[in-house]
Amino acid sequence: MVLKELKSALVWTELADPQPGPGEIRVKVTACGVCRTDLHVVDGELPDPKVPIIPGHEIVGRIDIIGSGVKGLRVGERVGIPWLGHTCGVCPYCLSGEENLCDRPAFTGYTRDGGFATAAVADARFAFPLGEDGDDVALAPLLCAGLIGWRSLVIAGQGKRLGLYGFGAAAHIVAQVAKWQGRSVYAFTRPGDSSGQRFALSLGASWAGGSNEMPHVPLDAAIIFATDGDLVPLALKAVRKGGRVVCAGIHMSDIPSFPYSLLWEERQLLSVANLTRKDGISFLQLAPRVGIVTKTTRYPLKQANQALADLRAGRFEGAAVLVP
Amino acid sequence: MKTKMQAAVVRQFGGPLVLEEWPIPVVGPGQILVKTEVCGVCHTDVHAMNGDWPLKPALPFIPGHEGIGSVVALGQDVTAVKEGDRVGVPWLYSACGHCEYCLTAWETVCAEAQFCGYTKNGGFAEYILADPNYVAHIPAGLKSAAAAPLICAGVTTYKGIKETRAQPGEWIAISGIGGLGHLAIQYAKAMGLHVVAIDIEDSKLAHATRLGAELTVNASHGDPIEAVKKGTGGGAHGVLVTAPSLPAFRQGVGMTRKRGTCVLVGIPAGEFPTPLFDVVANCITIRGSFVGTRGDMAEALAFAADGKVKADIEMQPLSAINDVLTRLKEGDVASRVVIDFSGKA
Repeated sequence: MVLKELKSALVWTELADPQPGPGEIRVKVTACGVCRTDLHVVDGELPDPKVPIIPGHEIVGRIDIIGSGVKGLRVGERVGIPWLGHTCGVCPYCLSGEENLCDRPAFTGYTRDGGFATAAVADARFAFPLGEDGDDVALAPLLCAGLIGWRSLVIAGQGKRLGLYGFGAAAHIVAQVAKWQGRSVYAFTRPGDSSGQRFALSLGASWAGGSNEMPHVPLDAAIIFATDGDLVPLALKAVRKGGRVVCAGIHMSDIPSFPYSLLWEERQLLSVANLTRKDGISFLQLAPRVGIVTKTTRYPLKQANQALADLRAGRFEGAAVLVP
Repeated sequence: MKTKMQAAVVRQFGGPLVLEEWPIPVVGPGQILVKTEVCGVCHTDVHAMNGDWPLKPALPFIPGHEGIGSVVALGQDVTAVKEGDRVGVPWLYSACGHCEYCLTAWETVCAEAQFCGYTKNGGFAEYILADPNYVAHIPAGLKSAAAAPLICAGVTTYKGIKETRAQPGEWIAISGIGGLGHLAIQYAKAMGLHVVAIDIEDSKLAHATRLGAELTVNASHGDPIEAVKKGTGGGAHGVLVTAPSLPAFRQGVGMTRKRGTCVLVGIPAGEFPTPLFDVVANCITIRGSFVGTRGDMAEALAFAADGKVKADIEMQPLSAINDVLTRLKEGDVASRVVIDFSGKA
């Protein structure tokens, strides 16, 4: 499914199967999650996308061709291909273990073709072996919603009371990890979204309410997965002195002006960008121990536009996954 | 074009280096060829040619891991450097790039790391084959001869100081004011630390004072631990042991302040006793530190380019290499020796 120009529908297109170059692998895609970032790509909200582009960066597939020079992977192996598609390896960020901030990166489904397709090519060093446990569709959302959620959770710190603003694909995974870690989860949904709040409570949240509500106790930290900048002052109001608010999205509407008193007393506001391979390895090792259960809605690959429209409208719980 | 080069080669462990003509290496994909201008001589070269360590290099090989020169040929797909760039080919010749250590900027402990002048041919030759992703980039204002000791001795001491976690305004004790120690004093001063220098020779301590050490302690007169504790008001926040002497390690731990860190970078053979009660009750950290990452390398060279760190060097031609190595073994080298390939030395 190809995005031929920004702000248009994806188009089902027959293309020659891509061939892996040196250091690359090709997979037959078995499942690809749909992420809010795909909507930002389609809507032209991110700078300098490759167009036309095949979106999709939560790819589960089986390797069918291995390019020259690839070590440690074999044909038939199941792998996950995430958002971080390539880094330069020599810029100051790569050299300091912050490859998520690389000066010359490539991102799957944004600056290189992704997984809304029957086959995809990836830089072998950035693919994660997934083993044979777990269903392809259930694993797909771990590759971005799970990973970025995990990085956000680590950056949010050790606080016990954790707020999650926007209870979609990422939050429904993070809630399970946080609960497993012994934290209390406070879930904030769109005001009046009682089914979303019930979903959060069913996953073990201690409290669920609208984003305009205040929990009865101050939170230690909050992660904002929703794309609405209006949530930032609300989250700052909800955290305690010294508390931390983490913006996890790649794009957010403007943050409205707010009184300094909301930030004062050493509250911190910070963002999370992309992921490192180390994040991926540690999270994918942790996921089976946590026993994460992803809630997914399957769509045939050809219905990618429907999946994106349903994501935009909030018509499903958890994550959408395309299946070729 | 020239096809042969001069090289100093280890033919058998324990023997002298043999000066030979070797074919100039040809670059493969992802490799570069460096024309050597200078190459520093390090004590590790002595260990390599003696086969002192458990994992021995394959014979014959060319030692040297402080080579500096210009890139003269690029293999296919090389983008990280271009022809004419001045680079150093350091001990950390390459690493795998994808293990848990490489992914967190700890490529120095990668299990698949290759070492220059040890598992790969090194800089005691007119040309060096190198991995463009792991070479040191020499800043424009820094002379090649000045840079040579920094890509091993310099980065090792700089990283060691960082690993003490001592903060500007705090005390660092530097034990051993030789090739490593005299650089360590300058790095520590540039990093805003107060320096106490420890050695057993007054001439080296006088040099330490010239380089900016606020306090010097001669460890052969009286108790150096007490002297450091007294001079620093309770011990140094960070201690860097560069001396290849076991008593220096025990003393280093002893002079560490409560909650401080003692970093070891020298590797004398053997073990040293650890006073467990003092280490536990004073919450002391003892930490090993090994060379430095590429990020550390760039920082270490930048200090020198800014004029804050300058190695004492003695220039020698390649033909003198065996004399130099003999003097190193006998402890008869006051500074760092750099082999000059220009024919001027």
